[in-house]
Amino acid sequence: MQWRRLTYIRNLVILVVAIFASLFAPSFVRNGIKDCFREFQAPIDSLSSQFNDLATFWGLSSNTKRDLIEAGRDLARLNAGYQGKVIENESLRSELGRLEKMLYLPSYDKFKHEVARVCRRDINAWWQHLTIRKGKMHGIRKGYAVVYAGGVVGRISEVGLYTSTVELVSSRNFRMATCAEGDDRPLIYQGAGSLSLQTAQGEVSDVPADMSASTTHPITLVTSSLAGTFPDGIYVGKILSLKSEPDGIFKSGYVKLPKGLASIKEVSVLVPIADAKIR
Amino acid sequence: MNVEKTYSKKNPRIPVFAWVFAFAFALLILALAYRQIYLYDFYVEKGKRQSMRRVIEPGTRGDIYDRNGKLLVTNEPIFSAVVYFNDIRKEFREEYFRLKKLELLRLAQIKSKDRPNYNEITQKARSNVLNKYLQQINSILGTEYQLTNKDYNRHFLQKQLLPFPLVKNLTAREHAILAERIPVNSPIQIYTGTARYYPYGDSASHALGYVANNFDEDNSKIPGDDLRTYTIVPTIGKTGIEAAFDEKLSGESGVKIWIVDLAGYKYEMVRDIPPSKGDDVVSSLDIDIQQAIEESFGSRKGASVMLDVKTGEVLSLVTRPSYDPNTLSPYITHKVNADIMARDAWLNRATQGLYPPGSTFKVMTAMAGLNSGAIDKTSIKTCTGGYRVGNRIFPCHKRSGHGNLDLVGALAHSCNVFFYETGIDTGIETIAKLSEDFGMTKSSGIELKEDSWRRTIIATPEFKKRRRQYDGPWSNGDTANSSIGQGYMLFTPMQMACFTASFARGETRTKASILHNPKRKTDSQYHGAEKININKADYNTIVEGMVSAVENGTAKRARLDGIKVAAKSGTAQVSVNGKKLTLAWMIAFAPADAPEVAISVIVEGEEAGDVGGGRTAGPIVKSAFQKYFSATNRTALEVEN
Repeated sequence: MQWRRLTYIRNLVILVVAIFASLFAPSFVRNGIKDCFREFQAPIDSLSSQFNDLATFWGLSSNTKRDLIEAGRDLARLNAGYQGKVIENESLRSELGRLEKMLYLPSYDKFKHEVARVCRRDINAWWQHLTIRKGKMHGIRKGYAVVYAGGVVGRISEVGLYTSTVELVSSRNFRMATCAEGDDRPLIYQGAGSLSLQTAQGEVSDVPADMSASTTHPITLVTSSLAGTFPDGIYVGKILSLKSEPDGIFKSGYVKLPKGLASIKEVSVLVPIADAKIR
Repeated sequence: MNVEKTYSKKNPRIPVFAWVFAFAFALLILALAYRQIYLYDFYVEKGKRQSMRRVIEPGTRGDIYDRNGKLLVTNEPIFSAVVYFNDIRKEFREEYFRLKKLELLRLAQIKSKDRPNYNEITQKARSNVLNKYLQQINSILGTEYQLTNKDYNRHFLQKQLLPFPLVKNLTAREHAILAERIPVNSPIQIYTGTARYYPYGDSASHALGYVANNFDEDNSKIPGDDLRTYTIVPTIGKTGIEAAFDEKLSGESGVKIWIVDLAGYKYEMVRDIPPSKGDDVVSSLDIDIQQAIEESFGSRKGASVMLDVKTGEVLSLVTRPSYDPNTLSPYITHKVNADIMARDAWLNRATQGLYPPGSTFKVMTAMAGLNSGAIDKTSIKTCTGGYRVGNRIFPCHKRSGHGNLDLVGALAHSCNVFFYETGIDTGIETIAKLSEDFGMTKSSGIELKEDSWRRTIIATPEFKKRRRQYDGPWSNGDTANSSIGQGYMLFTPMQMACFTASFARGETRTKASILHNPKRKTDSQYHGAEKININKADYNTIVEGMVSAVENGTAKRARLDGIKVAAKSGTAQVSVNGKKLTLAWMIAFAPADAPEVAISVIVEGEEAGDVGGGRTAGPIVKSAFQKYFSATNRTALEVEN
């Protein structure tokens, strides 16, 4: 009879024991379990993301011929536009190379791009981190910069074999060296969470007192290569206002991050070429 | 039944016990009331003193600008990687227990009956934890910074609530790397302090001054004066504008009052007044003119003061050699001090250097002569290369003699003989009286430290009588010497600049100022001046003589195309420690017919005859005027038109 009573609370006992075990287990055991869980979960996330892509593909393939023709035309126009941009880009690149050579400047091609799809983004940590579909096997390491077409995405905070977690630029745990466009003085940027699911913001500090910003004349905040993680000039956001700090030397303010950050599907991890060669 | 009987209420011992108990209880209540009510304030105050700490953070000093808005002095951020002991308290404790356990085990193994040295273990625990964080920084930056026990033990005892610097003075790159790579929630934080920064280096350093740590700051007006206080050391202006306007430049100190626990760690902040920045000061200096004059000095010693004739504002205040105030803050190292001492660069020669004025004083003698009637503008005197006074022949600098000269010619060619004779005919009292009227023994009124005016000398018979080393009564020889600015006469370059500006305005005094004020009054009442007591024609004759000196006389190296410059050069001889030196002088103002700026320049020679008023000081005056007139967009061509 007593034994039967015990079986009723068996699950509860197991839960309590598990909690105690996790509380008092050594950190290497806990980290091991966490990593194992992550690696087991990774294929599910990856598969789910790929199914999602497939669903999108089938969804698109059900379009009518007319839709496809129109989309094809739009695409052709876009392609033509991009072709022009590519030519312009090439010409700028060669001009840059020529100037670098003439002025004995080092080349800025220090990174190679590892493009990755976003496979998971938890709703309860929407502005903190996201998971991408590439990991150690693709040469990605902790601390690498992650960017997308709209600017900075964040930095790799955890790396699995096939997936990696990106600490987002909007996360309060994300801090980086930046500078104002056209000014090389370092400013410190830190994520400041979200205002809503649509927009996120950051904070900027150590802004020299002679700088000012307003909604009509915002300061464009871009990355600085000073710390070596990011290359120069990648868009971070806009500073719309600044207020003086009590020390009188610096100002601080909020940074409006791009809206595109809320709906990222694909990112590019900047792998330092030196690291890539070693690998 | 027996029990009831034993504890009956009628037992006589019970009331006695009850009374004793009631008395003791009443005593206890009274004692409690005494402490809780009567001594309430005392204990509240005592508790507050024991558990509250005050942290004072000085306000940032204001900036200093030149008259055109160029930043001359500002504050530079100094970044340090710091930890707050409060944030790593848990780690200190864990490390302490770990080390204690190891030590106990060790003692047990060797079967020692000694007790562990707990003080040593505490220090070791602190060292281990702090070094762990320092190593984290070293591995990120690729550096090899180290800590000493002395650093953190002293900080722990004296500044526990202030941030402990693991690495001071981070470069911009190191700051950026640490900000990016150190986790946001790490106990390592970046602390931003400030240091005074002088963008123009040693330029105008004597005028701007420097700051140093102020360990004697009076914090009694800041709330919490009776609390134990930790202070981030503020700075105080030591010389120049930094010292003269220290009160204005110094910001208001901020204060944080913390409740701390028994171990002295922060528990709760109960008051936070942020520091505020001091006011800015707009100086009257024009840094472009200042730099032009400094450049033209080269490596020579000397001084120069350039004034706005109307307002008395100091456009440049040059002293050479100079020092870089960036190397003096927050404290002066022995090496820097020794270097400045060796170069004799501490002295602000412009306001504190005393020099015989040499032939520049002939302008004063000429005025005195005209004023007294000893000469008029047509008086002719003959220079044969010397002038006999008693048994002694006083030479002219032109040994072959200038021949017949009038006042204009005498000023243009700086003829000594003309002025020996004029001085003797005028009399030393008249010359001295006029010098007094021009304020040559008074302060110029400038806000900077200028105590040398008390030691300036206008040579008079009374002065000679008062001298410690009596060398006979006043003679005509003394008058002759004084008439050409030699002998006992001593003035500062600032006084000579004020004299020149006053003369250019046709008045007797100029009140100098290092502050720029566009609304400043410029009338004679402001300067405390009177009109010069000579007629316009005589005044014009002296000006004509000074212009002539520039056009074809001894000051021609100060000539500027298109601008009519009036100048008087001078070469004085002095004996320093038995060594004869030459001083090259020039005073000038321009434009001669509508004066705007006046300048005095002195260059100290290294040996006799190596410098001369016209040839050494002349080019410096020229470069100063050139800069002034080009800065005010008046090229030589425009002035001519």
